[in-house]
Amino acid sequence: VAERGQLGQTLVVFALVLSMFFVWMIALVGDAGALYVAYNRLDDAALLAAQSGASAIDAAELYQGTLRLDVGRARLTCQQALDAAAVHGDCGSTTAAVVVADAREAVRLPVTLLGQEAVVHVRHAARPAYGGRLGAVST
Amino acid sequence: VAVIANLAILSSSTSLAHANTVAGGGDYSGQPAPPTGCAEIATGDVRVAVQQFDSTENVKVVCRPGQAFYPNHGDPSHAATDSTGAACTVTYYADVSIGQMRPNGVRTASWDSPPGPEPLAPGRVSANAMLLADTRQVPGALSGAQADLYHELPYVTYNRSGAWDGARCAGGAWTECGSTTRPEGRGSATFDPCIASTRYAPNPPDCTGGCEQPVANLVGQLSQSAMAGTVQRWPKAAQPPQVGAVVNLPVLFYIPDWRFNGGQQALLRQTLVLVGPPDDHGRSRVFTYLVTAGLQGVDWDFGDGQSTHFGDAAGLGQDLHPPAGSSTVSHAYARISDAGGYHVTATEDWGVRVDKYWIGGHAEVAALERDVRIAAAADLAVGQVEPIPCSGSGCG
Repeated sequence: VAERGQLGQTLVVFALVLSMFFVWMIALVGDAGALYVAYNRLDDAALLAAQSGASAIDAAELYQGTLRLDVGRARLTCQQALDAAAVHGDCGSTTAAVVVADAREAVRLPVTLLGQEAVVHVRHAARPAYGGRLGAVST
Repeated sequence: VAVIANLAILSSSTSLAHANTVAGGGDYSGQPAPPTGCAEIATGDVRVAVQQFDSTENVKVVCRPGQAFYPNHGDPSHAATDSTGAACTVTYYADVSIGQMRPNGVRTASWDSPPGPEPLAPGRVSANAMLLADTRQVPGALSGAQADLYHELPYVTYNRSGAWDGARCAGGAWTECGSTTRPEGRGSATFDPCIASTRYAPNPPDCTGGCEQPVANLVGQLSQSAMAGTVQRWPKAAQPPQVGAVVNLPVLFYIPDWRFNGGQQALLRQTLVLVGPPDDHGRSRVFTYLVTAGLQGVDWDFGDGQSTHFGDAAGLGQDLHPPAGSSTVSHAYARISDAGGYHVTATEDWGVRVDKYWIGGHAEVAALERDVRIAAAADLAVGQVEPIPCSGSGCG
């Protein structure tokens, strides 16, 4: 009789542990999904913002054969793209050669088992490039 | 100094003999109708009138009975009166011979004194007249002292008052004009108020053909002196890692080495003063030719189906690019070029216009004008600038 009672106790404990494991797994999947969605949104927004900023070339320098960015306008264009996507971030690392878009956002987790929120950070860079033929004038 | 003397003695007379008659001719006696004008003229009282065309003279006319005195209407003849002893005037017209103009603008005028039994009082028989100087001959403002003497016939007059003796105007003495010093400038040049001129004389010949050859030579020289130059642009020709022209960014074109008449003058004016051929009196007209040569326009063909026209030197562009400025000739390409690039052509239209000025007239000499079109061309590659993602060392 004692052995049968121990077997039942083990089943109860196993059931409890298994149920807790399933609850944890459900929480993990839910939070990871939320984070994945948020990451995708920030990734797209940062890439688009970096490329937008990289379109702001310095025309005066281009007339002299130098391809470089108008830093102020590149930052502004990049930031406007982030704002249009409703993404928090900045383009402060932009230089005359490359535009850097940092998107950062605190994502509220749907299941608070792992915590209430997690921070997602995405960084993208882009630069202008000359395409087509290198021009030459012949007379 | 050549001396030319043409003499004209024009005598005034009032000895006319007329018969009474009635208007319309005829005398109501069955006589035939009279001729249309006096058929009989007493030529004995008329002196030879060899001088020019503005002379007026009175002649003795004798009409037969029934003849109309005036040929154009039927007024009756008038009774003649004997004018012997009446006052009369003799006018002497002397031709003036004018020498070639000297470099300082002075020409010498000389003439003969009146001949005849009444000697001319001792005095001047020639004078210097200050005429138009070369340096004052400017287009549209040909003016100067006695400029009319270039195209009018100068002459000098002397008068003598006497009494008609039935055959001639006798007595009196020749009066002559005294010389004076012109007060209105040009030094102390002597001016003779006796000199007059008449517009009845036709203009001296025009300057055409060989006379205009210096103008034709100048036009030919100018029309051959235009050089189109070469087409340049900003951005400049690319040498890696530099970039060249790109789409949507205006390409600034200019032609830095165009030449006209050895320099870079888009508008050039030159004047030539030519003396036309002389007439029988030695007179010539002075013609000022204004040769205006310049750029009339530039047509740009950018090679992508687009073109533009400039009507002045702005079509040659300027060597400017931002931020310092911008050339007046610019074009933004919408597509990148293929392997051959865009063929850009600038066609310059240079023209030479000739205007001819003389005293009292002006004309454009289209026969001497030229129009020259020359072209400058270049092949231009156009690429594009695009943003690309990068990471790490790829962003350098």
